Amino acid sequence: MTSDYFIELDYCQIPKKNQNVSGDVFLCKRLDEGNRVISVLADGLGSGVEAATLAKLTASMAMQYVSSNIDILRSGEILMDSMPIDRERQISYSTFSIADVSKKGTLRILDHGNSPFFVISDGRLVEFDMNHVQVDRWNDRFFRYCHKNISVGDRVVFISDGISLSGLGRKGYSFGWTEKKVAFFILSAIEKQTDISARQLSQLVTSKALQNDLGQVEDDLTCGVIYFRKPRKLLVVSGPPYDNQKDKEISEEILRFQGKKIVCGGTTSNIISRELKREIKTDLADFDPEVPVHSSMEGVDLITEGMLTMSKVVEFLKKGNSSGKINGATKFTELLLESDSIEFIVGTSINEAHQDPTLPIELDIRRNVIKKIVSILKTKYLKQVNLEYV
Amino acid sequence: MLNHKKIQIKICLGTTCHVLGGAELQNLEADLPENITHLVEVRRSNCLGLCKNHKNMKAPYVLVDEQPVSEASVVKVLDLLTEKLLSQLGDKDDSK
Repeated sequence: MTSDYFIELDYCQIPKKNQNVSGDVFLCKRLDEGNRVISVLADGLGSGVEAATLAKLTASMAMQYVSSNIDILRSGEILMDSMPIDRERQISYSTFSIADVSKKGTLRILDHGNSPFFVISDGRLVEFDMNHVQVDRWNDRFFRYCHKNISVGDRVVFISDGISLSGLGRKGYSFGWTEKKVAFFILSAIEKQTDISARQLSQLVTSKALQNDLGQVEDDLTCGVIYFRKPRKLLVVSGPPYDNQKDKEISEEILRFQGKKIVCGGTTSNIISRELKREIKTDLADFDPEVPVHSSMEGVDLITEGMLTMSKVVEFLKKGNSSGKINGATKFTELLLESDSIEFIVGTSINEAHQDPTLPIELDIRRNVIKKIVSILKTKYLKQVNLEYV
Repeated sequence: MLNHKKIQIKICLGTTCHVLGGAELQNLEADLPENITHLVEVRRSNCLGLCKNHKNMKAPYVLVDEQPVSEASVVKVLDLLTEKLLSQLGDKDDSK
């Protein structure tokens, strides 16, 4: 059933050395209540802000056309006719690769000028033919497209040419890393960890390319991965229920839930501990003065303090990284980012002590902070999120 | 040698306590004099709920053998701890 599957999509980017902005643009969009995901990788001519602008224009146009269900061949023609080109050299200002994946198991790909992408199924590279389309008005420019069926467990990996050319000129890298070796690296990573997430795989490929360049990136590095998978589920329980008759109900949900679990908030965790008759154990190993210490309980993956921790989680989710420290907030963020389908059960009882005007910092109310987390997870990270108030 | 149970110290890790200086208490063991560490057990606790119920007292809170210390600092906790240890010594003398 399509609701049992999830299209995980993530990417990693490192701009060229001495550039603040990558000239590659990766856009992604989830449509039809998550049943369809479209991603576009555009590589702008040159590097820096100018390349990024050209790539962004191309990627945005591509996303617009493909999202609107125009036939893929027609989408390609419209894009080739309307995208900006260098009149003198008669080349496009940006390349593009588009993948349109649906939970029904269909994959459409449209590509103009990018490095080849890889389709991996059952631990092996899938070979397939692309249709080549070229018309006179485009001079030597052309695009390719294909339709394919995919199954649960399959992946599509896009790379920009900065990845395949990384290491160019170093000993052993006469032609750079090369597409063949990139493919081999990806297959080895999947063989070592068969359920490696799109996020982890894209970071691994990009890190390896960075190593090839000895840390001095010669051309923007981008790797995007789409992984058609069974969803990784996470339950977050935070806040005492407005009606304390529901304490037992939310505790039972923790027992029932199939997936990972976070309990966020001191009072909340005390309630769960009482109802389930399980002890909370606190570990000082990851002491951090900014974020209160986290704890553990049998059957729960993480217990954290409430508001301070969640405010930090908002910060980390917005930045896209979690500072390299290990504390309750970084562990919380990592669990969110390594999940696909996240359920929030939020108690709406307000902690009056937090509204004390003499407190040295302003503490928002729980609902507002969690709404921010939910919004970022949905829009930036394309997670499937459900929020229930109790 | 004292036969009393170890004195239990619980440090509240709740939000209000952390914001009002509780973070500094989290390493309390390091501030205990060496000669009494074997007489004391320090634990961390989730929110003790004291900030909600004690309108005349303020966070951060520490419990020393279930006796709350409000606006707790290392000095205040050590003062109460010393008082309790002396009281235990007094009990020992009385029992001779």
